[in-house]
Amino acid sequence: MLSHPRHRRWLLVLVVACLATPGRPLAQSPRGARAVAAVSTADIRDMDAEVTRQERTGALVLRSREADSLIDGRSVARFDQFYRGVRVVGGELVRQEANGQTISVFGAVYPGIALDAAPVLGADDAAAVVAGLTGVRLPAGRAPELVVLPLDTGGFALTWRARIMTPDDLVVYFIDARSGAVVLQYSNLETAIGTGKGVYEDAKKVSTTQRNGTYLAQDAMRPAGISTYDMKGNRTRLEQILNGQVKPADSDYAADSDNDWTDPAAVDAHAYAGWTYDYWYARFNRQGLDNRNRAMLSFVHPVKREDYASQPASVINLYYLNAFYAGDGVMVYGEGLPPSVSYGGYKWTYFSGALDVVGHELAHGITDYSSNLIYRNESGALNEAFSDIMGAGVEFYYQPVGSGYLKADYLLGEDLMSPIGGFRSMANPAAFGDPDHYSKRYTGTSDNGGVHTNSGIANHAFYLAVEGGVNRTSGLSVTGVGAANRDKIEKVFFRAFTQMLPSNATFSLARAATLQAARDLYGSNSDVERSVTQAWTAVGVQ
Amino acid sequence: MKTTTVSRWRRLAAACAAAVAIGAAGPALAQFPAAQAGAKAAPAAVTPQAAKPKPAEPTTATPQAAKPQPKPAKPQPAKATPAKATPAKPKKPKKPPKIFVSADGGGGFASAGFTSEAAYSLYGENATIVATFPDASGAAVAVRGAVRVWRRLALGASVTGFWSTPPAKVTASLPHPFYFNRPRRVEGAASGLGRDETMIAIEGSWMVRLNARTDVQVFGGPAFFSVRAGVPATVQFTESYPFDAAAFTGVETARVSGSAAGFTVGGDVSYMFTRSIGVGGHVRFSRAAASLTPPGGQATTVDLGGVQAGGGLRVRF
Repeated sequence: MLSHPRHRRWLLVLVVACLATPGRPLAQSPRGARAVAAVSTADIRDMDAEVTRQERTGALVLRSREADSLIDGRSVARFDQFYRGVRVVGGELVRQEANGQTISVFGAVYPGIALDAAPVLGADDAAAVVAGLTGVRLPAGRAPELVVLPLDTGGFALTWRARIMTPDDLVVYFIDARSGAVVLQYSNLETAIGTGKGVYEDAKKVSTTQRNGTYLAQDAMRPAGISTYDMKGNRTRLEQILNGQVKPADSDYAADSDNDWTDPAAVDAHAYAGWTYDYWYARFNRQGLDNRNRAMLSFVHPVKREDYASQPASVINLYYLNAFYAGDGVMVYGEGLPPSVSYGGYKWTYFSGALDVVGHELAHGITDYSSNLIYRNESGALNEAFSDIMGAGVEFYYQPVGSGYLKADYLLGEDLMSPIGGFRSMANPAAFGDPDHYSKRYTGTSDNGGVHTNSGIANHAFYLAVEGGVNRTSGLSVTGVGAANRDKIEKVFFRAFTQMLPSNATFSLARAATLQAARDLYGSNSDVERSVTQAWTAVGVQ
Repeated sequence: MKTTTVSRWRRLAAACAAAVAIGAAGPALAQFPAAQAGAKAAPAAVTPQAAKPKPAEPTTATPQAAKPQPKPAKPQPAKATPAKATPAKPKKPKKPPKIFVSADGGGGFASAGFTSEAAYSLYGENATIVATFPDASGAAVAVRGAVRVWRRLALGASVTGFWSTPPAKVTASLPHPFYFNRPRRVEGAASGLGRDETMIAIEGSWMVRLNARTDVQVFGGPAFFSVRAGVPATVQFTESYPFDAAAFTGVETARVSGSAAGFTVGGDVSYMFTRSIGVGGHVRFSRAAASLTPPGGQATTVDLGGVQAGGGLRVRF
């Protein structure tokens, strides 16, 4: 009866309409999407039934089901929305389950999609378009993916999605599957622009592997396998590696002849990557980036400091004054500037020299393998905020509280700069020109919709939930859980951001998810839930 | 008659061998001649004095003296009546033997325990091992030799050896592989850590006769000690990520040695079967303090010696 195409089309319309019905609609949703936050018994019952039905029709496809790393017996199932067999970008539901029972459902689905799902251009055609735009060919195994792209202006487009590393950026392209035009492109570089000076003389242990009489920065003791490579200023080779055209060779490893390491950039990159892995494991029982101990690869010295004067601004901004997560477990740390050179009034050291920066960038990897928050607009700001929270968290885990170099604080990247500075503050975002309240959010298009700016809203919510205080914009006071209980708020945010949020999450969804996480972990009406609630309210997120 | 004599020798030899074998004998002291003690039970073959009353049969032993006399009608004393014999000469007391040798086996008791602290490099820091050895017992042997120099005073030397394998309680601090100043503590027991002591002493001794066959010596003098001991050098352990704990599985050992001067005093009781052969026992107390330095660790003082006792063979000339 439903075999006729017309019948199936009507069924899909009905399905999407039904999907949008259960759950508490949220005030702040992605354009064209219906956000869902089902936590009440009635909403869950309705949503659960719908999810089950739509799985049968193919409108929802189970992408993954992972065990809850913090609560035994629970699991998290992620569903992608599909339209006529084509994935809808950002259409996702995340269902928390326990012993066959649904605990919560968060997500966003796009109703009202109506387009021809048959592409005119093939994947090879799209790849050729990307190659023409960037001069870089997509490597084998990274063919473009056909997707339905919700448009910021409303409506939908059938596009080919491709991610490619160019000499100065990591770009995601959406190529119109009919015309070959670029519908959307954005940088997928998850950067942490830092300031600082030098890598400090603090002693660290470096887990290495000895091979042919040489010690390599290859950590075989941690389950994930952590490797650090020294590109020796060979940016071309680095880009080939990032694009999958070549694989790192043994000769690319950071190496030392006597295991008494003298390259501070390599030491910090390698040690801090290990520290961050350990922090995740100890705090969240997280096993690496993908919770399956995916290898973590760090690259230092992508360029030569002495060459900076001859480099274009794009290269300086990417490989000198930047660190970024390049996907697939790969980190690239900027070279900083020669000690005699100042930029923005600061001298800059190796970007691997700041623990919070390393923690920040690696947290992008966790996001990649969990919520995969789209790196633009509110979801992108949440992506950045989560990394900031993780960066601060790892700093507080290892370093003494205080101000100055190698101290734990709520500044981001302060260790990169001389004199000491930082480029974001979670305690007072406005100090760096970032909003501390939703009403002050950036709504322009630069910086992928202000991902590094609007992150201040969630950052400040996290800070207030821990430390308490008064939001400078709303004047609302928050009773925090206290520094001694910082780990509780970290767990709440980690749980919500990795196990509950969909890829196109909004601040409002983040609030709902963190409250659910607080209830999951510490019970309803707990101090933690109260602090988180007050914190989000104080920063204007409902 | 001949058969009887041989049989007695065999019994004597067997007794001596048994004494040595069980380590129950001790060093002999001065032995006085059987004749001097007037012992009738002395075998004729080794007591020529008994033959002197019968000069007419100088080559013949007097088996009757050794045999039970079935017929009291033939009392032996009649033979000794010097009716026509040469008047008995007054018997000269035999001089004590000149040379005394003893070889004892036995044990040492409550040998003083000690604590060793070793260190070695692990994961870029120092791992430290503390091994506590309790007071222990072990096997000991002692050989003494002395020469009588004046009346009952003898001078000589002794060599003793002592072996023990006390179990050690081991506590170790193992550095974390990833972080400084985050040691893991492990505990366990190590066995088979041998401790050997050798003592060479110069001794003076004084003999006191208790009866014809038994005597006592007291002795003492300066002593030189050397010691070799097995101590834990590294710890064997298992660990796994996140390496916040480790499990003790054993130790690898090193032999350390030291020496020291000290003293020894003791006493010896001997029982002589013959003029030259006997058994005996001894007890001695020795003491010295030696310094041992485990690999990479601090020097520690070890008390050597202690109480030792043993028994064995006595030979005198």
